[in-house]
Amino acid sequence: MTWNPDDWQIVGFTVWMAVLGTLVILPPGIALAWLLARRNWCGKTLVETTVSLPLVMPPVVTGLVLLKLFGRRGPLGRWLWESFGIEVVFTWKAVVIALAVMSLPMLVRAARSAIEDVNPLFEQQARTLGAGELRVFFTITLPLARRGVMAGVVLAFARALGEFGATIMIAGNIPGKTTTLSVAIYNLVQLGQDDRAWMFAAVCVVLAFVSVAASERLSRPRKS
Amino acid sequence: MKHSLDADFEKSYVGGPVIRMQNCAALTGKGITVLFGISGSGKTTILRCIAGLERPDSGHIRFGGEVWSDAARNVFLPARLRSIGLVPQEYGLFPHLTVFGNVSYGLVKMIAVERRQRVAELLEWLGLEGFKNRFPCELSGGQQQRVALARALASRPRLLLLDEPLSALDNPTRVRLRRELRGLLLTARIPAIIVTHDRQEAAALGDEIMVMHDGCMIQHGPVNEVFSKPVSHGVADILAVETILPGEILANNDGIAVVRVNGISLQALAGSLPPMTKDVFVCIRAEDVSLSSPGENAASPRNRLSAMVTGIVREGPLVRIGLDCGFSLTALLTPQASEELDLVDGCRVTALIKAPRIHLIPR
Repeated sequence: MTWNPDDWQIVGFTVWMAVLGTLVILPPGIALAWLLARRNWCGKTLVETTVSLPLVMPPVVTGLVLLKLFGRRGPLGRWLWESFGIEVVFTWKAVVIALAVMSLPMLVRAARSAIEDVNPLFEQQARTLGAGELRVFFTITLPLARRGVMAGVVLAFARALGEFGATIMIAGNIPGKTTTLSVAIYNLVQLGQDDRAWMFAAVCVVLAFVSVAASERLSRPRKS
Repeated sequence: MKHSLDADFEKSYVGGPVIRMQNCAALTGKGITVLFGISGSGKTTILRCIAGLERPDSGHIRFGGEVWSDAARNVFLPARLRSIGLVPQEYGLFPHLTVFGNVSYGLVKMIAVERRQRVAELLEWLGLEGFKNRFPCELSGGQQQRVALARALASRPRLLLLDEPLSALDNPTRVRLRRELRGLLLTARIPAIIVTHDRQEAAALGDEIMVMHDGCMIQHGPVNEVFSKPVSHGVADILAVETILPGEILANNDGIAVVRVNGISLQALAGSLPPMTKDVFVCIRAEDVSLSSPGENAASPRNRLSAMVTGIVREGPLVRIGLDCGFSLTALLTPQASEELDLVDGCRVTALIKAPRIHLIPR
């Protein structure tokens, strides 16, 4: 059994999409985690629940909702098409959206509890030393919560790598354009090509292994 | 009135007591004010309100003509704009930053060269040279305390707030640092408020003392005065003062110090006092005072004071005898002992205190 360039394209594409999907949710995800951990505001519970929905709903349902939102006739899709000429559904952009929405709860939940674990006394101390809220966040809260936040990022990335249901709904299975590893594996099994499916499965294991090892590395304290 | 704090405010928590600071015009100089009271009396809340970490429910806080908080006018100056230095309980050193990172945290407005110079200057002054690149977890309690002090002082605050600065230390270190801390604060020439529940600490550190009880300030004055003349039974109770008096060491012979208190000479163990100490607080616990009839002279205790009984109060299984022997003294006796001596108000007795039972604190 040999690898052909198309196989490599699928692996590269999947990793690239997962990286993009994670990067896209990083700023809003961490900001949201901070808002949930440190502030009281009206509608907090609603937002909290909405963000976590993709975690408990069948991914296919999430995909269906996204498809209706971003389709040409959906509210967001029409706006994007009419104002910017951007077509989302069944393109790589749809893949990124699916992965981002599905991974967001992982990041937000982990980052939120990491931020909650930071002793607010450190933040208050920083304020007495003249630091504004942004500086407090970037020099105290985030560094002290970094292990939990990193864990959240890795979870989000891992989830994005393996996402199937939402992706296939909104991005479909267009070889060379929207096919990700999970979709490819499903497809190959359908076609009876179990050997090739196993090959891709092995790649998934390696990717998972590498990402977890990397996060361990990154989140280790500076001194032991 | 550059350094005067004018605070009159209230703060309460759901389910907690109301913390009240009445009309406190403290810190007229550059001295050290001790906020003293048992735990739960609201000391830390008051400190946090002054620091700007809590918002008072009513009343005002002004400092040197600046309004820090005024509930009626909905004015509240956030902590970062108050230019204060806070040393919290357990020091609150940022665990992910080095000593340099901690001390220089408040110095963002300085250029790098000045910042390094300021940190170096502080570390040298506090005897922390060579610790610049250590992390807080690599420091002893005493070193952490000094780093926290350096961090609080770095940007030259107008007011320094210390919350139980010594309570996280083990006992011998605490006694050593108590002396050191007062010296450092006086050299820094910044008015300071220190919260403590330890009366020896209060006596050793403060120039002025505010006694807190159940969220209220019940006495405020110079340390000597408050300790020797508590205005009420409540204050005396909180201070757990039997006798704490300022004294002066006249001589120190082979570890036995001769101390003068209100014109009366006492003998005490010099103990762990640093050499050349002159000014001390003399502490005598009521349990350590025994009484005898005036005539009897042969007894081993070195301190024999002619005294007059000023009050007899039953206290649990014991009797508390108030005495005047040139200064006020208290003795705790069993009721039988009191009866055998025929103690009544106004009668004369001899108070006996063994020299090792008199405790001296440097001041």
